[in-house]
Amino acid sequence: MKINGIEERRLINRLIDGDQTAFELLFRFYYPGLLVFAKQLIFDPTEAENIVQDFFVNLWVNRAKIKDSSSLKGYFFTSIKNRAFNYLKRVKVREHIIEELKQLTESDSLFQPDVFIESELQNKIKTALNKLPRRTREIFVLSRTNGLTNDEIAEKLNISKRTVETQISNALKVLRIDLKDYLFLLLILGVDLF
Amino acid sequence: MQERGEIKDSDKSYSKFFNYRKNLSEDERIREAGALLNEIKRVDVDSAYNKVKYKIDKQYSISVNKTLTWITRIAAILAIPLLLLNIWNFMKSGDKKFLAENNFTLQEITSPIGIRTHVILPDGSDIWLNAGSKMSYKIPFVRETRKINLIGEAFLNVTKNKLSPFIVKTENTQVKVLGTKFNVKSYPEDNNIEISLTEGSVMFYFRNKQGRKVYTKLKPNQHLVLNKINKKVTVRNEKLSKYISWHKNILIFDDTPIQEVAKTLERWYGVKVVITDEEIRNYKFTTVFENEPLSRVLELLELTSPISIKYNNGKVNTKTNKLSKSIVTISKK
Repeated sequence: MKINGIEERRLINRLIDGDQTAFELLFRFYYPGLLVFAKQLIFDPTEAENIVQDFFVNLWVNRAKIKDSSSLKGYFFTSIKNRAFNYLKRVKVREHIIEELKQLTESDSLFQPDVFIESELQNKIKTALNKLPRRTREIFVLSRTNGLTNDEIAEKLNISKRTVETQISNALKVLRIDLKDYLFLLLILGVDLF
Repeated sequence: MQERGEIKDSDKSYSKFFNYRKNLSEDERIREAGALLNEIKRVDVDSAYNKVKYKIDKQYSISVNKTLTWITRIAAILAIPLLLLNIWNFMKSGDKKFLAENNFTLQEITSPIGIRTHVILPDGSDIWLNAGSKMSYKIPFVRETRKINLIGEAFLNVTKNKLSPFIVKTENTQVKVLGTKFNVKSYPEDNNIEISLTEGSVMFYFRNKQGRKVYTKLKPNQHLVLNKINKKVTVRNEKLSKYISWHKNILIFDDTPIQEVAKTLERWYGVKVVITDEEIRNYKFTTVFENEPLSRVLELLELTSPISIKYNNGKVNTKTNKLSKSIVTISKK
């Protein structure tokens, strides 16, 4: 994989040698995705930030111990998961809930790392989203990101609820077509959940 | 994603989350993915990176030595081989009597922007070279006089030697001492040359308006300013800490004009500082920073004054492969 046009393997080697620029490039590449990933496990945004940031501090301090590898993706996401679960244990979230959350991260396709970092899947979703008319995208994203109901969106944007519904359904039609080869990657929910 | 309650209600919010995730329709899963991507796009990476850098700096300074930053540690390590080299050169040069005046090598030490260097001279004198400064001296160093050339700023703790006065040459001026602690600030781009004396006495030689060579004698706790343009000299008794604390990695601003602050930050952190509003050019700062990373300094400046600060990371020029300076923009709030 390439990060800013540089092979990730080279960045990892430079990081091990103590190159701060390599560290910064890796940070900028992985941090946003890891943070949003962590926020799905820990609902307190400040704690989620702390966990991901402390992970990177630790990565720098212990960079000499990184095993020479070609990609950090698996290692990074697993580490964040472990740190998150440890945190939940520490703040006494019940064991069975942590267990269920663990299983969800394994089975729910919306937890796969490729959703969170630059990947073929992510690029497809991005391109599809960007193709939507600006207004449609705004409505579509408002509906989920901010958890607004259609009524609330209608009020916020000063349009009718009907328009909101139509826009969202239009958006979905477009996305379904654009993502048809990748849809299954998002839709699968593991069968071995229970 | 859906409900983000307090941790104490965590069980409830997790149950809700599980229910929500497991019962998403196909359409809703697409929307959920779109929403996640949108959230990723909005993450403030710059401030997160600054926080991580700050945490790293803190860890290092705690684990090694509270007063030493990374950079001074490196500089201190550099100082030792330099000293050994000088001693070796000195020994090699043999009997001093036979040394001709032109038989020397020139030792040059540069402290680039963003770095401060600590050097121990062959006579045991300590010199702290501030960021963006350069000094040179001849080896063997100890003769009838000990001379160094300085461009930029240095704090010197000169070892006493009555037989060999210590002379700092900078631009067209000279500071002559026997054994003292003092600071010389003489950046070519500045309008002033400044001397601060903390111990002992120094003689400052310069050319006056008529081009005659004259001198002023300084006493401890005096601060001298020579205006390079009109050749006017002023000497004041004052607290010198704000002029000399840099060599202990402490930045003191004491009623310091914003333009002076900008210049200091540029040298100290290797950034470019741009002041956008004419109105704030008269603004003055009073504050102390000890070993703080730039992000923290900017944060505090912004907090304590009616200015707003923007930080833009330097970019790599794809043609020259060089990193341009990061830019700090200060504007009116």
